[in-house]
Amino acid sequence: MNNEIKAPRGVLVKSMGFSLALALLFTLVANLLPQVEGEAPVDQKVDLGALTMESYVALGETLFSGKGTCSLCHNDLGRAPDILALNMVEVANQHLQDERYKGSATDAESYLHESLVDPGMYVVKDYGKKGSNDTISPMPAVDKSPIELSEIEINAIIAFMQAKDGHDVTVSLPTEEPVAEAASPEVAESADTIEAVVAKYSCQACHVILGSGGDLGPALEQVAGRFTREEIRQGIIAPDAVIAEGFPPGVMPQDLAEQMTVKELGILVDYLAGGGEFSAVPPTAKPSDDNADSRVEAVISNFGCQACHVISGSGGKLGPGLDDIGARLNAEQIRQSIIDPNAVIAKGFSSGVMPPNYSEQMSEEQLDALVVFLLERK
Amino acid sequence: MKETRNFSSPILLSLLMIAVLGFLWSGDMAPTHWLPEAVASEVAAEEVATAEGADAAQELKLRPAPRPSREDYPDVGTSSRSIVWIIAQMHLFFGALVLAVPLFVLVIELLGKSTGDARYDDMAHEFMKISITAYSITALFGGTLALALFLLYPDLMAYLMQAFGAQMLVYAMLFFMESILLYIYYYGWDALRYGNAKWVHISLGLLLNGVGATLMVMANSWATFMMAPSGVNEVGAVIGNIWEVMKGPLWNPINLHRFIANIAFGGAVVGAYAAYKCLAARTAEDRAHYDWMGYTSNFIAILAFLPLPFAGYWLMAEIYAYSQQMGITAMGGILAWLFIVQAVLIGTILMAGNYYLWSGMSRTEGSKRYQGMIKYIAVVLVICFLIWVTPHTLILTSGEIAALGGSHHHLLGPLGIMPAKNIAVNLMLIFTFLSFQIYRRSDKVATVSWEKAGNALMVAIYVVAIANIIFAGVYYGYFTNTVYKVGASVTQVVSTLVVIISGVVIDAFMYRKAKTLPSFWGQVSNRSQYALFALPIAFTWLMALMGYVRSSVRTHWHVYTVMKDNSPDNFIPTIGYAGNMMTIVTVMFVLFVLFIFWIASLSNTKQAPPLPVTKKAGEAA
Repeated sequence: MNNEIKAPRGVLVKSMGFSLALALLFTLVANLLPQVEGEAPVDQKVDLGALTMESYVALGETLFSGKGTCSLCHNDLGRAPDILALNMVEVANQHLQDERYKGSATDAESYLHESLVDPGMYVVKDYGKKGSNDTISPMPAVDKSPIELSEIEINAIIAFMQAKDGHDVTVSLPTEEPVAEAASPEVAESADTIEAVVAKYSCQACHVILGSGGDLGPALEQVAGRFTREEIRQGIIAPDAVIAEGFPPGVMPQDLAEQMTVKELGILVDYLAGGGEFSAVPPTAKPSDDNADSRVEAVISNFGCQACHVISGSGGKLGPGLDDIGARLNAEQIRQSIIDPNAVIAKGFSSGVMPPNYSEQMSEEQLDALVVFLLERK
Repeated sequence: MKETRNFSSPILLSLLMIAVLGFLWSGDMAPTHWLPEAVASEVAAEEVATAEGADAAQELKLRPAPRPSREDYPDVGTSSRSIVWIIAQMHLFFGALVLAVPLFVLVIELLGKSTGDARYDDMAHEFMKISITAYSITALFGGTLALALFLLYPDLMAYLMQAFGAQMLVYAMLFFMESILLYIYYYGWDALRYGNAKWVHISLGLLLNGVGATLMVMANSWATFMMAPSGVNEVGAVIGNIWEVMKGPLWNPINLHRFIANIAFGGAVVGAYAAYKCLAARTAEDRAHYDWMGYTSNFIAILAFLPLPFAGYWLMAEIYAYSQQMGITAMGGILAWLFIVQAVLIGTILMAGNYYLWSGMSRTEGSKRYQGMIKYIAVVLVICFLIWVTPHTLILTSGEIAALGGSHHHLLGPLGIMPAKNIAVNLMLIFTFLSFQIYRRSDKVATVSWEKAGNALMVAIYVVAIANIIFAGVYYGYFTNTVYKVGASVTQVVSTLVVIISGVVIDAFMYRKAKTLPSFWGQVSNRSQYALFALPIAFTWLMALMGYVRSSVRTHWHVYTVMKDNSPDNFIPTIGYAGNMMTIVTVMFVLFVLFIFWIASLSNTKQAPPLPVTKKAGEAA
């Protein structure tokens, strides 16, 4: 039986031609669609000297749809609250009154800031992470990866959200780079005498201190009898919290806490609390105390650890609480965290906040005492 | 004549890879220049401590991910991304092929063993012939890819080596083992063909697939680590063990998706081989054989393809759960338009698959009972396809927008959003299964007493499922808020799965002792074979497209959130550029596959022996 059949001619050419034509058809479809390039975000250098509130708001608007990627979800497609359509200042005030609110903001500006860096403090109904019953926000913290907005950029977005609905912009125009961003060598060049501190921050322009000075602010030679150390510290880092009678608020710089090193603040507080009789001995060379506990307390106080960490039940929350640190880290890890705090960052906290130069400021003895003290916190 | 092949290249490459990785792993891959100063000093201090024998030598060594600047990326005069893009894609195409083919070859071999039909065994052996040539090419592209990555992205590779460490050595060793098993499995086919020896051969196949699957999931962990890193802290320092690094939130969804997609892709490629051989056949036997082979390949491809959207759904759900921002970048951001191209590709696959089944029904007289349904199935498929490709936002000029009264058409606009597309996709899958079901039934006549009841049940399942899909899509998609919109798609997917599973089960029982009508393999139109070419082209393009989407959701990050991409290519290119790249890799793949087909045919070609020379009288010395 002859089974031979006539094969069609040019099978190879036809099959190749068909395949190529189909591939080109798909290419054509791809080329007919909108052609947009997705640029990687570029860190814009803001000329702080030339910045006006109008341009700051405009920067916020650019960041909203650009680097901040806010418009990816906050649009009219229902993925997240449509910020452009909402009056965000009014919304912020409503949320602050809501019993579901878990944060610590007190006004619209601080609420908006908090909602950007810690979105889980208030999760808008129906917009929570799937299965979380609106207790977990799907929004990433904008100051962390992958968005990584700086404090200046976050405030620009807040300014935009306030301005777009005609509200007064309450955020301040940035005047210089925040400490965390600057990481400048000047930070390490800390003044180490009371004279140097007073000269560096021009205290005598407004206050009488070290025997001379202006009268725009109250004289500081006799504050020791009227205020505690803590109140003096507060008076420096938050000068408008309590205003001395007869003096106007808003005159003294609000950002001394950001400008001063911990060491400088300690020198100034020591001097003022000591009734103008400063020992002139910097913290690194303080005479040792036989009592270990009081020595550690002095170290914690001098270096302002409780400004950011909870120690012995009190302190700030900018950094992780240290009352159980001995259960989590060994001695070497604790020491490393003090002298090189950005090498390993505790989950949920930002890098670059804790000063990286304690190894220059603390004596070996102080560091050892602090490590031993913290190791016992379990 | 025995086939002879030079199979030294993959083995040599494996050994070379082990040597290179071993060298890199044993030394300090990370030059101190890519470490931040503080960290570098920490490393230096640690070295001093080690030298002094201090306890600090035992402390945890934490190094953050490198932060290369643009100058740290070698400039080779052209786009490094494009070079890696092409090589990686070629490696992935061939890798998918060589991992998938042994999977269904093993199943076909088992089928041959259980039925005693030698045709299955011969076909499985022929499939492996394609796979074994592809394996050499996979290894060559794999080696080239590793070289390109180490040369063009040294910091990234250093970091990945830091994160995965010895796992990469294990990978290289498994690759070596895969090579050995593959060659024994293929070349030992005839030597281990009958009796207990066959079970030895099948066991070898099982081992081969086990090693292959392990290789795949290990390589997947590198890709998923770059998308959703695990086992590292927020600056990228490795704090977990290798298992924690591998087992990221997207690892298993990618494993499942690639496993299924590889089978569909492999089936489609060997289907093209069969179609080519069928068209070029010079005898009726050959045509019948390759027609049957093409049908089997298409069956494998479509069967694997049907559950693929569900695996894709799981993957996207996990991406959203990991990072809503990443999910929206893919589905609703700059990459969203690519899903219109995806719709065109999947539409092409389903149309081609259906067309092939309808054409194949001409092989048997029994198909006349069902041919009337084809036009209705075709109408549904076309309508659903058109809904699927309808974009939400139309590309309009300002004049057209003014005439329309907005960028969304009042009738077509609602068809552009996901609820409409979910309805369309699920209906396309259901009607493709219907085509498959009537094809399978066309050469059979059921003999069971409950045939009518069984058919009524099947029809009822179809009707209820279709009604449920449409109702869930319309009601939850347009008349409730967003949160229910997403949940509704689960109901739709379940409805589709119920149809497929119940259809397979009912037919398995109903046609158990059915009367079989004669089928004439080879009695099929030449045009139908071109559907088998359309499938691998669309599959290849689709793999390139979805791989690109998966990779691009990282945006300007090498490793999402922990290592930024500061290279000159750290932007998402236009869809047109990406489409051109996809066509380049698809055409390159087709050319290489053609080479494989030619090699596979060459091994069967025998030169006629020269005729004996007859000496003329008087020529003898």
